[in-house]
Amino acid sequence: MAEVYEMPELAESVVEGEVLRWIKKEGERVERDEPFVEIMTEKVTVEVPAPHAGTLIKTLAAEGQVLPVGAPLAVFGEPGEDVEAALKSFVPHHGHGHGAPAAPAAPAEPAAPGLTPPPVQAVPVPPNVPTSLPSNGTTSTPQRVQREGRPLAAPAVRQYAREKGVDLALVAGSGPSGRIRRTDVDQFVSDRRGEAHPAEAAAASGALWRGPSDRLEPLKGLRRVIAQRMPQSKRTAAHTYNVDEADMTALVELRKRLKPMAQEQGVKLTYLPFIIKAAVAALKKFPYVNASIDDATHEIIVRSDYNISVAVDTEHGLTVPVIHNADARSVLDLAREVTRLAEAARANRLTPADVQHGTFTISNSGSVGGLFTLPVINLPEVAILGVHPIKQRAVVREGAVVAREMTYFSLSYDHRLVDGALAVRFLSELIRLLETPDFLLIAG
Amino acid sequence: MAEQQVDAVVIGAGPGGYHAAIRLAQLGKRVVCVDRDAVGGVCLNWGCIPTKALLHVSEVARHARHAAEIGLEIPQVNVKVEGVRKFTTDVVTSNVKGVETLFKGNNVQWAIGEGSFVDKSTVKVTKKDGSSETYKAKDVIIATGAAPVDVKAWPRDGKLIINSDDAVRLPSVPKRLLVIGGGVIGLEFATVYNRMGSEVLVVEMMPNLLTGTDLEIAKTMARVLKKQKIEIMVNTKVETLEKGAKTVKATITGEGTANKPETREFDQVLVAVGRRPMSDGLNLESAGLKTDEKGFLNVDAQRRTAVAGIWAIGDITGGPLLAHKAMKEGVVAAEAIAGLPGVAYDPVAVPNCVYTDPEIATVGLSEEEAKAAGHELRIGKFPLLASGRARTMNESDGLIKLIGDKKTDVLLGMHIIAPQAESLIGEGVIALEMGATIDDIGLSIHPHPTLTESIHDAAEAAHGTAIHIINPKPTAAAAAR
Repeated sequence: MAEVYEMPELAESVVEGEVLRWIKKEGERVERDEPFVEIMTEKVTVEVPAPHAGTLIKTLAAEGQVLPVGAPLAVFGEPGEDVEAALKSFVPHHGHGHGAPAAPAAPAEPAAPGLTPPPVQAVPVPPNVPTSLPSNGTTSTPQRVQREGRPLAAPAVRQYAREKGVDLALVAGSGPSGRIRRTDVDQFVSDRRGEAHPAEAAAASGALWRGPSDRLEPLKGLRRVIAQRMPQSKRTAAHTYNVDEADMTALVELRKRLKPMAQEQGVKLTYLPFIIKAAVAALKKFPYVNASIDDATHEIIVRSDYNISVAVDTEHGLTVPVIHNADARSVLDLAREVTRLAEAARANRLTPADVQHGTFTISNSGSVGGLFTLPVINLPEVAILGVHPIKQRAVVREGAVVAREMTYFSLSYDHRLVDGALAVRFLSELIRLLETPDFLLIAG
Repeated sequence: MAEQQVDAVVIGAGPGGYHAAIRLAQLGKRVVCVDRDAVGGVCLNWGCIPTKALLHVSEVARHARHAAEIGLEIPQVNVKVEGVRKFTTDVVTSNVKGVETLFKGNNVQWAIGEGSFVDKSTVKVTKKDGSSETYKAKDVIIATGAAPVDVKAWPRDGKLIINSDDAVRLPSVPKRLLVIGGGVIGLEFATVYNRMGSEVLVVEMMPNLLTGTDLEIAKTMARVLKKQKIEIMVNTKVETLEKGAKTVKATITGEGTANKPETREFDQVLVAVGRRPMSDGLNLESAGLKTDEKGFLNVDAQRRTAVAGIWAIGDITGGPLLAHKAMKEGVVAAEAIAGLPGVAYDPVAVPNCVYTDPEIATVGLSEEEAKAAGHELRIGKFPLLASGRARTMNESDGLIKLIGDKKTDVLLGMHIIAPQAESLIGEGVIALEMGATIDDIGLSIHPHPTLTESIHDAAEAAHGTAIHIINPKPTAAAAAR
C-alpha cells in the first residue's frame, strides 16, 4: 500500500521546511534509512532518511518550495500504486497538526475521473506562531484552521495571496472560525518584510533597480532564513551595545603552555573554549543574561542550562550550533565539541539536536579581522558576545607604555530584559576572568 | 499548405476550449480555436444542452400527466418525436450560434477539422475534404474532452444498442429500454425516457446508484425513481446481449434477479458505463507529450503539461468530467498564458448536478467522505415534504442535507434532492468557497416562500433549532448552541 510521508518536525518548534534537493528522484528505489531528500529548516539542514525500503513513487514539492510540518512530502510504495488513493486517505498525524496538504504544486487535481471532490479535513492548529494581531478591530484570536488540508479563505483572498506570493498555510486567520482575511495576508507580508523599509518595500513592489549586467540569484536556503531572522531579531529585541577592551597576555601564555598537551590528545586548542568557560561563569553570576522573554505569556524564562551557541561561518551562510551543558565541560571537552560542531556545520551534517535550546551565543570574528563588530541577538536569547582578534597593542601599565596582547569584547543585549549596568557588569566579569585565567579554575 | 503564425492555438471548442479562446482574445492574443465538429463541443452539441432540452420536454409531459391532481384537465399527452427533435436541435443551434457570435465579436479565429501536433508549437488542421492548414503558436491548449466508453462485446449500432450521443437525438421512444449503468448519464436518460413513456430498467454493477455520492442521497433517489416506476437493479450485471431483428435479449444476473440469470427483451439498450479522455489523433508524441495509463494529461495548478508551452484543460486533465470545471480551467490557462499574476485552478469543491426528477445537486464532502477524513460530524437534514413551497408545486420528494465539522461548525458538504436543485446548490458552492459555517447559513435570512428556505431549515436542524420540523432534542440542542 502506497504510503504518504509528511514533512517531519526536524527540530523543536520548527513549523516549516524548505525542500533543498531531492536526493532520490521519482521512481527511484530507496533502502530503509537511506537519505532521499534534503530539507532545510530555519535551524538546521537535514538529509532525511527513508522510513523503509521501497520506491519513491511521488514527490509532492518542488526544490525550493516551503511546506508546513505535517504536509505530505512524498509517497512511497511500489511502482504503479495509486498515489491519489494514498493521498486521499492520508491523515496527518504530526504533533503540531499543521497537517495536511498545502495543495501539492502539481498536479493539483486527482487524475482519476470521478464526480466527488477529494476528502476534506479540518485540522485546527494551536495558535503557537502568530505574534501580532491584525490592527483592524476584530475580536477573534488569529488561528489556523484547515479544511480539506487547506486553509479557510475565500477565493478572492486566495487569489490575493498568490499574487503576493504568500502560502496561506502559514497565515493565521482572524475571521470567524479562523477564516483568513485579506488583512491577514497584508499583516503576514508586513511581518515577513519588516515594516516598510523603503528598499524592501521597493523590492516587494518589484521596483528595485537592476543594471543590465547584474547577476540575479534566488534568495533561498540558509540565506533566505538569515534574511528573515535578522530583521526579525532587530525588530523584536531592543538592541543595545557595550564594548570593552581586555588584556589577554596571561591567557595567550596559558594557551601556549597548554596547546602541546591538548595536541597530544588530538585536540586543537583555541581561545574559544576559555572564553566559553568565562562566559558560563559570568552568566551564573548574572542569570538575566542567560534568559528569554516569552511575549505570548508575558514571562521571563531564566535558564538553568548553560547551552552556548557558537556562530559558525559556512559557505552557505552563518549557522549557530549549540554546545549543550557547557558548564559541565572541561576546556578540552569544550574544544572538542567546538571542533565537532564546526566541522558538522560546514559539511551540512548538523542534527536537529545540535541546533536547539541555545541560551547564549558567542560570535567569533577573531580569525577574520576588524576592530570589533556588534552582532545581532540570536532570538530568543537576550545577549550575544562578540569576540575579536587578539593583537599586540601599546597600553599604559604603571606609568609606562608597554606592548600587551589586547582584544575587544562586544556585547549586544536586549534592553527589554538586560539593563545597561547589568550588561557592563557582565562583560567586566567575563574580562576579569579571562585577564586572570587562574580564576577560571575557581569560578562558577 | 497554408501556414499561419498566431499567439495561441486551442484544440477543442467545447466549454473549456471556447472559454480559453475567448479569454485569450480578450487579453489581446491572436488565437485560433480548432474543432472537428461545430463549436460548443459535447456540452452544447451532445451533452448538457440537448439533454436538458429533452429533460424539459419530458418534464412538461409529466406535469401534463399529473395536471388532474391540481385541477387541470389535459386529455392526453402524445410525444411527437420529430417535434421534440426539432426543439432540441433548435436549442443546440442557437447555442452554437451564440458561441460563434462571441468568437466573431472577440476576434477568435476558428478552424473546423482534425487538429494534430506536428511538433510542440505547430498544429495541423486536416479538413473533411482532405486539405489541411497549419498554425504555429508559442502556446497550445489541449481541450479535447472525453467520449463515451464503448463496451467491446456490445458495439454501438445506433439503433438497438446506443450510447448517449444517440439517445440525445431521440431516434424513437422505445417501449422497453434497458440502461446499463446507474451513473449520472444513465439516470438522466432513464428519467427522460420514463417520462416520455418508456418502461425503463437501470442495471448497475455497484451496490448503489451514483457511486461516490452521499449514500443517503443515492438511496433516497433510488426510492424516488422506483416510485416513478423506473425499475432499478443494483449489484447486478448484464451478462450478455443478444441482438434480434427488432429487439435485444439481455441476460441479467445479480441482486436484482435473486442471483439467478434472467433473460428479458428490450427494444433498445443504452450503454452508459462511463466516459474516457479523448486524445485520439492528436499525435501527442510529436509534441513530446504522453498521457498517463488512463489517458489523462497531468497538469499543474495553471494547467501546464510536462511540455513547456502546452497546456491542457477540461476532461482530458481528469478529475470530475464536468463542463463548469473545464470552463474554469480554460480561463485559468488563458490568464496564465497572458502572464496574469496569481492565477490558479484551486476550487474548494466542484458542484455536481444530476438531472433526474427531482434533480440532485451536491457540492463538497459526502457523509462517508467526511467521516473517513476523521471529522466528528454535524449533520442537518430537512425533508422537502415539510416545505410549503414544494407543496405549492405539488412536489414532495426531496431532501436537503448539510454536513459540517462538529468542532468548528465549518460546512463540509451540501447535498440536495429537490426540484431545481441545480440552481439551489449555488448557495452551497459560495458557502464552501468562503469557508462558511452551518451557523452562517442558519443566521442568514432566506426568502419566503422558496425552496432555498429548506437549506436554511436544514442549517437550523443541524443545531436542533429548525422551526418547520420537530427537532430530536430541541432544548438540549438549543442550549448547546
